[in-house]
Amino acid sequence: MREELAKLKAQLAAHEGLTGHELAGEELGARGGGLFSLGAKSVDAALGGGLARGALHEVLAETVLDTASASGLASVLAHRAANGRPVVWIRDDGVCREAGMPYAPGLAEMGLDPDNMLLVFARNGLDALRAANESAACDAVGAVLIEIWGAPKALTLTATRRLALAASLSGVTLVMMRAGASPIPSAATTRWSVRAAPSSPAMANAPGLPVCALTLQRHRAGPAGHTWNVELRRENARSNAGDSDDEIIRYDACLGDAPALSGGMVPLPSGRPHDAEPETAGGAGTAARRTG
Amino acid sequence: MMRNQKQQEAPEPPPAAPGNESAGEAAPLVIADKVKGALRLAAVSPQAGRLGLTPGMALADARARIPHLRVRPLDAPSDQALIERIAEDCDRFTPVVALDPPHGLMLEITGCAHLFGGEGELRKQLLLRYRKAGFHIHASIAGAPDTARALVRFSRTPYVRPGEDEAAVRPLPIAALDIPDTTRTALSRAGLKIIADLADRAQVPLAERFGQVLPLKLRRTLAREIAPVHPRRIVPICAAERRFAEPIAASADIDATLADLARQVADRLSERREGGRAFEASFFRTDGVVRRISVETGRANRDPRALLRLFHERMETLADPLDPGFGFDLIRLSVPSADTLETTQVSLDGAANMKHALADLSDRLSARLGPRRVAHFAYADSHIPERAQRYAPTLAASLRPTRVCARPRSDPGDPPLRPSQIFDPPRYVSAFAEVPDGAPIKFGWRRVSHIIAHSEGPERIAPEWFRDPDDAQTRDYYRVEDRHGRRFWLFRAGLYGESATIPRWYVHGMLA
Amino acid sequence: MSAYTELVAATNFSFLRGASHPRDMVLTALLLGHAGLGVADRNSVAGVARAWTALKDLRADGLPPAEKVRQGGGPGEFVWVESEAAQTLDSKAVKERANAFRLLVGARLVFMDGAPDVVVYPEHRSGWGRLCRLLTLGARRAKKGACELVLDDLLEDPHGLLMIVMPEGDPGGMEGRLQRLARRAPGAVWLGATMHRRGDDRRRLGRLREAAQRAGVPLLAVNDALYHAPSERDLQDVLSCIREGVTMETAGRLLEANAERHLKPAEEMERLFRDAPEAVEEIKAFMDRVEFDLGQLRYEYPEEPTPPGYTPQAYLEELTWRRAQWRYAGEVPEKVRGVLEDELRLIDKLNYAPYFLTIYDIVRVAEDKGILCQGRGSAANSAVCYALGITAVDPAAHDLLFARFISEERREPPDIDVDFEHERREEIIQHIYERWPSSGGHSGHGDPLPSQIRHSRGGQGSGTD
Repeated sequence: MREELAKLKAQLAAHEGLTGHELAGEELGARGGGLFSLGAKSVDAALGGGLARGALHEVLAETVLDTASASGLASVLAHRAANGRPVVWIRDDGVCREAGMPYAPGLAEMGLDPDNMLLVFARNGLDALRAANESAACDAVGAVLIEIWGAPKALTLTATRRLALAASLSGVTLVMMRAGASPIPSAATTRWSVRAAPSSPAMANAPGLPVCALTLQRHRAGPAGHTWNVELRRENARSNAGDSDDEIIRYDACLGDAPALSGGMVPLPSGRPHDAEPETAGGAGTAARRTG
Repeated sequence: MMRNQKQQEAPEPPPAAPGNESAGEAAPLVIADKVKGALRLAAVSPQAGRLGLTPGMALADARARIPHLRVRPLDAPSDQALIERIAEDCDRFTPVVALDPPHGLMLEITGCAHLFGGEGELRKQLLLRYRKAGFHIHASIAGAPDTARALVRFSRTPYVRPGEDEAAVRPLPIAALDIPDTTRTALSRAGLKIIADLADRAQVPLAERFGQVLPLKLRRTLAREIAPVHPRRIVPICAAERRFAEPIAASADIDATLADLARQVADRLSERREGGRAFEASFFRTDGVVRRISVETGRANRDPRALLRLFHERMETLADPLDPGFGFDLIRLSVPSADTLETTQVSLDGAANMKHALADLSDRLSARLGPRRVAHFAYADSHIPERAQRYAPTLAASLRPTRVCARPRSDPGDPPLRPSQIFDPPRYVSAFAEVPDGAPIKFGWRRVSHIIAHSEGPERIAPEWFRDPDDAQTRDYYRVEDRHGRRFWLFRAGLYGESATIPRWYVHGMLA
Repeated sequence: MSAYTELVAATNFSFLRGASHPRDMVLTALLLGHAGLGVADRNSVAGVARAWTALKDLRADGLPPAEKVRQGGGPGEFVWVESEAAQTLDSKAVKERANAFRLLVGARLVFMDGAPDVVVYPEHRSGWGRLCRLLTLGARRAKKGACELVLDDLLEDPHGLLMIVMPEGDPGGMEGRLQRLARRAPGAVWLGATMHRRGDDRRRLGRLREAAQRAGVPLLAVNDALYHAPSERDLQDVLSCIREGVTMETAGRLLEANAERHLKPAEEMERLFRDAPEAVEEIKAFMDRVEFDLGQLRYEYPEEPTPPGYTPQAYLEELTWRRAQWRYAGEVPEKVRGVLEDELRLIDKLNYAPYFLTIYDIVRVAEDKGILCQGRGSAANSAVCYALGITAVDPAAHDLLFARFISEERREPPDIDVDFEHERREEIIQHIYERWPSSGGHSGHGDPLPSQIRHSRGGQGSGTD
């Protein structure tokens, strides 16, 4: 009931140009319910204001080479959901090996808050899932980001149900990033697939703000199948007013609608098959598709 | 003031495998070792001793006397390992156990004897335990470690009453002072044979003639001075233990015991206004095997329930599960490390509760996954990317250096200049780039070729000359994006023309 | 010889920032084949005299011989420069280059109000006076040794100054100030761009170029050099640590990330600025605007008030003879008379009379106030100084030859240090400020004197030059 009410409010706010994020700020007390906006108007509008807190959301890297983008997007979702509370970031050794280790200076530049993260390096998927369950049960946590490589045996429909249940009981939002794997049946409220996309270059042909092609593969509460090109941005500069001697400017990570690409890059039509490519195909497979 | 009780336990001869004894009835056994090129007896069995063989004797001489002698070579590492195992097991008598080479152990039993019904009873139980296991063992209790050592080796006096230490050692030979052979010889030549000959003399002339060691050893052996004991293990701040006449093995019993001990330890910590930062449960098996399991906490803690949860997390994930064998006859919970923790009232401060809840979560995760796997970002002020951050285990939270915040270098609205994911170590790639410092045009990595669409750089980062080795190379970093939008952080190690070798390319990270 | 000139070069007179001596900067620029060098230290013109002397030595003598080089370190000597050009150039070629070489002297104004640094070069002599007055203003406002300026001080009267605005970090933050400056001094403002290999160099260059266009000022390629060769990075790092009061281990990003802040070959600069070749071309246009040359100042000293009808030399002679009579109780010995005549002739030839008058004036004030003082220094052991009461050493008794200490060959100003009673030194300093209220400014001469006095205040020495 309260959740629906919050959703309605968020929709109303979105109409008035307010983001769901700001709304959530007002309603800090009401945990577990409510939506968090992603920041990109087109996506938020399609979601009816944003994504549900206290739920499990899944983010799939389309190919192995999209892992950094998928992880980036997933960490932005976790950051938005946490709304200033700590994020527990669980990554299994497979992701560490293939995609590297989280690097705070870069995360800070994305507008994330590395000083408010608890990093958990899990040996394998099973350990990662157990740590995620434990973390989701702790109400001091704002969001849990769990990153799993491949398809470990422990990752079953039941396991995701357990995560979703833990999330709904505590109000902690869970974001699960998977790379090097294809989708499996899961209890996630939404499932996204992410692919790196060309940025609008900055001056002197420098790579611009990171852009991802974001596809909503599955949405329990609404239509799915649409693809958006979103930019990973840093916004809402606010100074740390609490202690005046330490004027650290903090930023918020958010998504933004990517500007239309010049140079004839056509956004992917919606409704294309969403199966991730075989791991070994890597960039070559993607290249064939994009030039086709 | 409490009397310092020292107990010396000296297995003698060096313990051979306990089973050997029965088989050895037929022929006397000696252990031989090469000393300055000649084989000499390192140890003799009681039977061989009765036949007049003594350690130090040449093996050839011994053989001449007793032709059917059984000889085994000395295996010092195994002897050492065995002594360590006995020392570990002696932990059941007192937490302060020190090695007393070559074959002795020193136990500080102050405050422990009452658990066994007095010092004499403790000694009896100890002797019984190891004799049952087949060791030849002697033990003496005295007021100072050196006194106990002298007694156990030279008179086998079982027990010296408080204040009678000096009287007990006076008749002993000067060899009991544990002094170098040269000094002993010099003393003998001077006609000084027993400790009493030295005890009443002025110390200054003794020191002048025989060196400083002699008066020191003399004072210590006469228990006029107490030498420090260096325990093998950290002496816990506090501990609680429970002994079982009937060893326990059922996990429910073990859990119940741990819970009880956790409450006791919590009470003791509470009295001290402290909370533990590390806890150790020791499980003593009847057969002498001791298993220890420790957990750490990120903040001082004495909540018995939290403590039990940590132990459960830890025990669930043990690679080598707790095996009770024939049962545990002693379980101890000790606190090797603690911090101040004032008596906490039920806090109405939500933020503090949140902090504690998070700390407890990270403690539990650390207990299960290992302390190095649960971390915070920590920073160092450095241009060198891999030096600028590290992962600081949350358990070592109090050791964390002052923070240098990760602040964005780029302007808002500009793309990040640093990767969100970093490879350690950087991964080698093959790259095509314009010399001397152009950005790559394409590069190959993990069997995929990436054509670069956008790039920026170089960002030149020179080694920290005051820290890095002389051959450390300057790196030129490039932020690149391939045609599909994958963003990489590449660098070339070394500058063209600076060294004979062609600079190599690496990928150091990926950007979202 | 290329047209490239490094227009923003600091020397070790940029205290604990610049790592190289002015002469090493000059020599390196020369050997690199640069057309000239712009020396600009932080709120100071103290280093430019050294650079100037070094250039003159090179013009006169060419490269110093190797044995002199190896001694190193002493005044007038060059440290060796590891340069291929040094091996291939003969002395004649070096002299030729030195004669064509243009030394631009100026200062880097560092402001208290968050304004970007502005490197200032006087267009002509009046500009030099204005610059010196500005520095004096800042020095008087500040505590010992510092200089406190705000952008408004410069905006008040920037006439005769050519200004290079040096943006730090985000170019957006300084645009307003750049435009104000450009409006105030049309045609005399440039925007300095650096390519220090900080990653986003080319993007930043693009932004600066746009900002320059918006402000209507030309973009200027500079390297903002802190040392003459990359090998000096270590030294510069150590200086930074001393400056910031930190250790090497903890200095971190207070240090430069690389060794790019050195004088670079022209072709390297052209390559770095390939996106904005006009910024490199602009260097020549900038140089053409500068008429001022330190040589124009050589014999110009703040005028000493002399009685009507007297030239400084005549007044000095009058004073010397009068005081000598008194010193030697009416009977100036023949030997001393000869020495005094020789010395006065030399002082006349080198036009040093005003300098001696200045010192005399200060010493007399000290005498009036009963402040103990004592002169020393190379020129102090002269009969004239003894006669004037600046020193108490009778040259007649010690057979000291003034001419050996002041010589035409040395081409250096005479040096007289005066030590004052420590406790009362401030009184003398106050007198000097009263006497020359805007030293170097009103006369437009800006002789080393004011800066030397200021320098002396900042230092811990007991003397006033």
